[in-house]
Amino acid sequence: MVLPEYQTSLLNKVDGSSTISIGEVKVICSVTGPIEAKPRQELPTQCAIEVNIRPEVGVGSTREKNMEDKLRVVLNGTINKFQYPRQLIQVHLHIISKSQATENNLKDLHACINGAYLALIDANISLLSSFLSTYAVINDDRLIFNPTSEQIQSSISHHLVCFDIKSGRADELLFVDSVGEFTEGELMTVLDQSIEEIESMNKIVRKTITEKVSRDYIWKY
Amino acid sequence: MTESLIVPGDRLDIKSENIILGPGFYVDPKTDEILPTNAGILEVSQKQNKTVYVIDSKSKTYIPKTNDFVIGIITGTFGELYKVGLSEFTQAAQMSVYAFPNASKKNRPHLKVGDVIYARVLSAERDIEVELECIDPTTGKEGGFGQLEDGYLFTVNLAYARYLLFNENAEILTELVKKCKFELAVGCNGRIWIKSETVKTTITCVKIIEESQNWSKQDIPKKLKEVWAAFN
Repeated sequence: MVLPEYQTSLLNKVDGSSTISIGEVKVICSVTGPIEAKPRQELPTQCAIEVNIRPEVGVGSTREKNMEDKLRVVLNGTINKFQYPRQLIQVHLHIISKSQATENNLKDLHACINGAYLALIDANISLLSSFLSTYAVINDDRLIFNPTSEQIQSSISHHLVCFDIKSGRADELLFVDSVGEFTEGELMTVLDQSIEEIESMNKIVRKTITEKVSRDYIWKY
Repeated sequence: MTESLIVPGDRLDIKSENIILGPGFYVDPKTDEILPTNAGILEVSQKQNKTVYVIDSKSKTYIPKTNDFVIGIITGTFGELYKVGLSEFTQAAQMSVYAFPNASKKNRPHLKVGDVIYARVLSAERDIEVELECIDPTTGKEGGFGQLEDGYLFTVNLAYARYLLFNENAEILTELVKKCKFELAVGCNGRIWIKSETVKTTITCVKIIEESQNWSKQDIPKKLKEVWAAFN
């Protein structure tokens, strides 16, 4: 199992930024907002959310568009959109190095979701709850969280699970994406185990946020 | 400090009576539940029998609030209105040409695009444009507001700007004033205007204040000396 590494506030021209490395996958994320929306994006009572994902080389393709749509589902459920009427929140993600297992984009998306969460926190965007995701594979009837690329390539099913977190506990299921062959029972096991995984991950992320906040307020103490 | 750290989604035991909620909270309109929505430090204080809850968090984009003191840049003039930019990529605020002490049809200020002003946020409703004025509401006089001439404008993060504005005896300023003479205006929108005798001292002061965002209180004298020595 590979533990993710996080870092925040590394870009100074945007409101919030983060990098996240999970194994070989590395993503850099920036959030700008609330800013003035273009007339076609503007919504009268809530903010518009713009998600852009860039691959490591070249311009985005359908693969990135697909990831953007999935990430937008998660962000729509967690950003407190009514706080910023007629404004725009831009979330940009650049994949610095992508997963070596190219069968699916779930590992990259997993990094994108967690990176976006930290960047939103750094940008001080109003969120209704925290959220984190996990990526699991079923390999030889075993459930493996944060698998290596060899494990991904030899697995029969892949699951990305994202929960919102309230009071340190995984609360509601925000998003689940599964690829491969699996039974309903297997999916339920994945969901059950993901809760524990997300809660333990939340402890590490919270520590990152604590460090970030104490760095932000270093002048106060 | 860990105890007072709040992240979005944390449950707080706040009763909804006799309280004032500051920034960082959202009241769910359906359930009346009080939700913290930003990651930061929870500050609780008492004010006239009421408990005030605020989540203090660092941000870079400024959202105007009534009675904030801000530094704006004139971005346009339209008839009897000035357009004033308070932060980049956000909608400009507006200010009447009569929002100055003793202003009348014949006696009005002549501000040009690019001029810098120190103003107060008169109204900041979420559905209409933000309005500014350059009059002290208690005296009806200038009260320090108005055009900021010459000098140098730079930005710091909003939490630090608030700290400098509300603490006249902020350590960094009391230390810096021992080194040189300067005039300073701090806006809630993270902009700081500074004017001192020479360009060299101005740039040094700017560098020191910018860098001091990352200094702890006890490091200030030592680090200030280092930066000062590097420039002089």
